Amino acid sequence: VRLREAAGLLREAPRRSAAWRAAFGTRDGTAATSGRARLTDEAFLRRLERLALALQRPPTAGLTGDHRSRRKTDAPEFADYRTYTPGDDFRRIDWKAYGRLGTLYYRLGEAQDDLALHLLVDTSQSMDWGVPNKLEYARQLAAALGYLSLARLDAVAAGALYPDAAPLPLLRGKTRAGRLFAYLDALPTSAPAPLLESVRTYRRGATRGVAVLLTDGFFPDEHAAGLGELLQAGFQPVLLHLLSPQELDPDLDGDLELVDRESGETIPASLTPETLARYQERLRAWCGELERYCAARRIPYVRLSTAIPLEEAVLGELRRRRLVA
Amino acid sequence: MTLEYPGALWWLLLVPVILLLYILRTQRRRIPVASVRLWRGLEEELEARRNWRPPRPSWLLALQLAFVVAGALALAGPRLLRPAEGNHLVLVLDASASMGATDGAPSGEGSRFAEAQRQARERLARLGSGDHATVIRAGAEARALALAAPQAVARAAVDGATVGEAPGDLRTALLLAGAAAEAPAGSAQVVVLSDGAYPAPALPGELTAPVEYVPIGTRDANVAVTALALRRPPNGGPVAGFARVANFGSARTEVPARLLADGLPLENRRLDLGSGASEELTFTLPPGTRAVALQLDAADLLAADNRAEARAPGTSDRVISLVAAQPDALARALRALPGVRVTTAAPDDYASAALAPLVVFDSYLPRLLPAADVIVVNPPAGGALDVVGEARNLGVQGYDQASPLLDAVDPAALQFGRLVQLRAPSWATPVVWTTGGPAILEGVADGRRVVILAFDPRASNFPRLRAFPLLLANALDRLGWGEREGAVPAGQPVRLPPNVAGQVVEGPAGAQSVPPGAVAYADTERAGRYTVRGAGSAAAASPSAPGASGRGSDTNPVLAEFRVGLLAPAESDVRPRVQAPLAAAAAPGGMPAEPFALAGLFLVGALALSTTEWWWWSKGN
Repeated sequence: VRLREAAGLLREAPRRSAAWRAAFGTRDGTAATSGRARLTDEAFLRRLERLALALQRPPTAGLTGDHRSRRKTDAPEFADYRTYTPGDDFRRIDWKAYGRLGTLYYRLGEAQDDLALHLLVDTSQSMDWGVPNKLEYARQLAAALGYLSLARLDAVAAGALYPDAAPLPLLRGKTRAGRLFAYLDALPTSAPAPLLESVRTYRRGATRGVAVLLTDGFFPDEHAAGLGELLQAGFQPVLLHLLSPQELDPDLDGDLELVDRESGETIPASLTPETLARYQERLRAWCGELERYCAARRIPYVRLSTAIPLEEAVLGELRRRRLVA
Repeated sequence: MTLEYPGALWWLLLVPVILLLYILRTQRRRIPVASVRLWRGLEEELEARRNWRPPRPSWLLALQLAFVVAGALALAGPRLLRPAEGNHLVLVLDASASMGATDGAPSGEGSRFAEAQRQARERLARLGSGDHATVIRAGAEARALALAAPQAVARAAVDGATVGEAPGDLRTALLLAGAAAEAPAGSAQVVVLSDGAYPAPALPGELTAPVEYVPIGTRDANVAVTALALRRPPNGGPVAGFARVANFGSARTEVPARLLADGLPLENRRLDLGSGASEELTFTLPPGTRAVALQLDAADLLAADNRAEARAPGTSDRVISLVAAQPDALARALRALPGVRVTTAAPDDYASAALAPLVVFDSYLPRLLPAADVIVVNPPAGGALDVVGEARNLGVQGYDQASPLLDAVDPAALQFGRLVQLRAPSWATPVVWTTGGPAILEGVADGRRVVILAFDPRASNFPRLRAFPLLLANALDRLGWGEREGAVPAGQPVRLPPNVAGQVVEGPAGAQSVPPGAVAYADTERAGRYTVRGAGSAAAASPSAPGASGRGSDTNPVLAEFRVGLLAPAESDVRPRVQAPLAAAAAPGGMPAEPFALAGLFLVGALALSTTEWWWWSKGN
């Protein structure tokens, strides 16, 4: 390889595979892929409609919703049926109906809490990187979670982890999914901003609820302050830690100059298997630190590789981690 | 293992170059990453920013270095020397004149060469059926009589060898022996059978086989004529002679010396020579003497050096044919030279004129040159030379200082009023040239020597300069073969007269044909009288029948005559040398072996390494 480099890297450019260019972009650092995928798979949408967030929700004010509440209520004992979903109180299953029809029906009657779901997407430049692109992945994942919540008549709001970003107010009903998608699509790439400042700006005037943070975790400040702010404000944070395959297992070699997408800082690096092993150790330690922090505060934490197809991430990984049911 | 082309090992310099490329850091590629937070401080900052680093273990590096080494070795042509089976006896028979001394056997009978042959036969008799032998005759010209041949063939070669009467070329013989010893014919042993009567030969390198020197000869009594020279005084007086007689024996001796002029006794002397002493004789030849001989009636070991003959100079004038319309000026200049007789002919009579061996054409040139050496002066257009024009009033631009034509001539003062511009023939070499083209050229065209004066002497200052007669004299020396004066040392080549149609040289060993165009005759190993005749006598004499003397071909006139004598003090000094003079040059070497070429294996290895390296690199990218 050194001989080829000494020869002026003549053969380098044509030999760089499409995957390489897609992963690390061109020499000016712009991403090679810019298309934004939408939720166009009808079967996937139908499957999303059968899911629900299975989270410990903080109480919301006033509205009645589709989720069990820890509050006592004076509501009629029976109001309606709906199909049983995992996580429902099996004591409310109508066994007589099951005996007649063979289907589990859940009796609605007691007071149901409304769930306000806040989808906070990290739009910093570090997210606009990798193959698949982390920001695109975050948009699609947020759209999927928002759609399944809207299908459950939950209130869904969205925003960017950037102080100046205009949030999307609470929406209800499946028919508003298009607006959510449009908002997510229109989120621009922003400069890096401290998590604490972004959270503090967003929570002002926002209804308490579940705040799902879709981020790669590269904040200028400590993540603890931002997450603590959400907890202190009565939100239930959920941290979806998105990392690209190129971050999880870099395929780099030789003498390089690594350029930070956000700050422009450059670091000379001579990458060898030993150097890459040290990087992996540091990555594991960093992720482990995030995970331990979240576990200590009962904050759901899921690390996702953008290499995992979206459907598998929602229907597989998030279900396994009991975030959806 | 030996290398056929050791110079190819310079390619190994690529090894440090490749290492340098791995040590030096080239321009770093800029790779954007989401964040450098996790990359920061992975290695020492100073080390990372250095422009060099110690090479790291790498399969690519190892493959590239192995490829370079294998490629360089393949180009160097390695050969594995495998010991060959059997024995290879390399016999060097000294066939120089001193080996004709008659003290070969310990009993003092037979020649030294016969004793060498006897010992060679003994050596050959010891060989087995699978052994080989090479026989090299170190005469005036070293020659292999049998090369890695079976015992019977080698014995026949030894039996057929004869001793010469000239100094031997032992250096070339040893080189041949060295080359023969490297032949894959078995374990080689070089045996030199010689009396050591030669200067120590200087070999370019050591022989690869052990060398054994077998001294031949037991006594040293020998008296010899070591010099014989004749000279015509400048004032045209009688020819003066000079001879030297030396005693190389360890005992004082008294030798009768007879001086013969054209075979008739001229003077008898009795020489008393002490051990290692020599005596010089001077004498004057009667007018008209053609040849002189000095005969020593000595009962010594070597007879070949007891007689020397020499051709007397100026026994007849050198005849030159001058073909010119106005021959007066040039004829006068030629006749001014000593020993030159000029016959003139007009251009119109050229076809019927009887020409001498040297023809001068002045302002005339036929379309075909005659079968003679030629001097062309002021050549006109339409002749044998391609004249393209003329130039006027030119000076000399340059000249070949080493040319014998310009011996004692300073051409810088020459001024050419009219220069004939020629398209120089391919066989001609310019000797003096001007800005308008060559003025004097010389060369050999189809066996005839030609000198061209491409200018009109009458339109130049040449006739008024002292250089003019000197140049003509030099040209005659170069061309006018005429008579070979004095004695020719045995083994030395002799220049032949113009040889357009082939010639026959008759000598003591018989007649030998010389092909057309040959300018010299080298087979002068035998002492005596040699005559050169035209090719017409070739029918009666051929190289295959040396005994068929050209005596019967006297119908062809003798073109030239020369006398060959030993005249080699080193050969006449027949004292036996027990220590080999070649010991310093020929040291015992290693065992001869059969070479097995390894270049192909290294080449295949290099290609395999190159392919692997390429595959490895492609896999990594």
